[in-house]
Amino acid sequence: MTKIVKTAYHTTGALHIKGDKNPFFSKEITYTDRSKDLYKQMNLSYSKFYKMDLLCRAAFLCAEKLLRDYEIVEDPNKIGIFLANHSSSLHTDEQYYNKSIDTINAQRQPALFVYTLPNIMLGELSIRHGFKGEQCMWIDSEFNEEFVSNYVNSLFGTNKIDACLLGWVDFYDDKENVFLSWVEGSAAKAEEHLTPKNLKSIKNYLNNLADGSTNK
Amino acid sequence: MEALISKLKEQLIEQLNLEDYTPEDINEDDSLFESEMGLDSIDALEIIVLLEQEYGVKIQNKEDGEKIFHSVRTIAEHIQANS
Repeated sequence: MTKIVKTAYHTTGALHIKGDKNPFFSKEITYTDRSKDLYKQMNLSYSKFYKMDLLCRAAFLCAEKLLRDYEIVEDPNKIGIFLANHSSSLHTDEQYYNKSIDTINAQRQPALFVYTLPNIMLGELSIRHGFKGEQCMWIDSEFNEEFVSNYVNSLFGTNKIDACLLGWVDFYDDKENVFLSWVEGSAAKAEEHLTPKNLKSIKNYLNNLADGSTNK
Repeated sequence: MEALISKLKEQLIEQLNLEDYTPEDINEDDSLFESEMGLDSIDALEIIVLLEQEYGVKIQNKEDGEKIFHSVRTIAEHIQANS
């Protein structure tokens, strides 16, 4: 059976794990500033962070919160990453279009261009954490818990993966909306199983946080 | 030469989003791609764009690029010799 070991949430300036006594929070107005503020609060040192686009920063920060101080024992070759979102890389696509295409002063910007696909998040997280297993990125109107649960459980069931990072990482209109769960193939209580019902509960919790209707 | 090196350091910090760095943190003789700055192939492309746009200097082939991009000083020397 697969177990959702823990889940981190990142929305409206907050970065926390449910029941967390030490959540991180930034009041900065723009995500450019919020992400830098959270990075500093977490005492991180990773020079590539500042080069990332805002979507990747949101994924990066949430994964840092989720995995900090957590000992991963699985073979990196059997650790997967499965992410979904709604806005793809639209924020960066627009930035690139405005700076590099739709202007008489168009400038080539290779460092921006590489972020005009959302699956670069998978690469950034792989590099940071050394995960080398199966990976997938889906774009959907909302997190499809039924599909993701079936897909990931089938990979566990066929021994393709022993653990994975799984979640929703969306960024657009300066709003970060992220949950990331760490999942392992181990015995678990029913409420921790990787099931559509439990993933839906995580999704709803994130949505309530984003709406401001759930206390952190 | 020293003024050019100083300006290049500021431009590299800006162009490559090296927000953790100040010009004083960058030794002009240190290897750019084998130091803790952690520059990669995308950064190399950004430097090529910077040299073309700011100094009108083009890198003609890959072998030259490896020597030119070794350090801030070698980049400055190439600009001075070719602009």
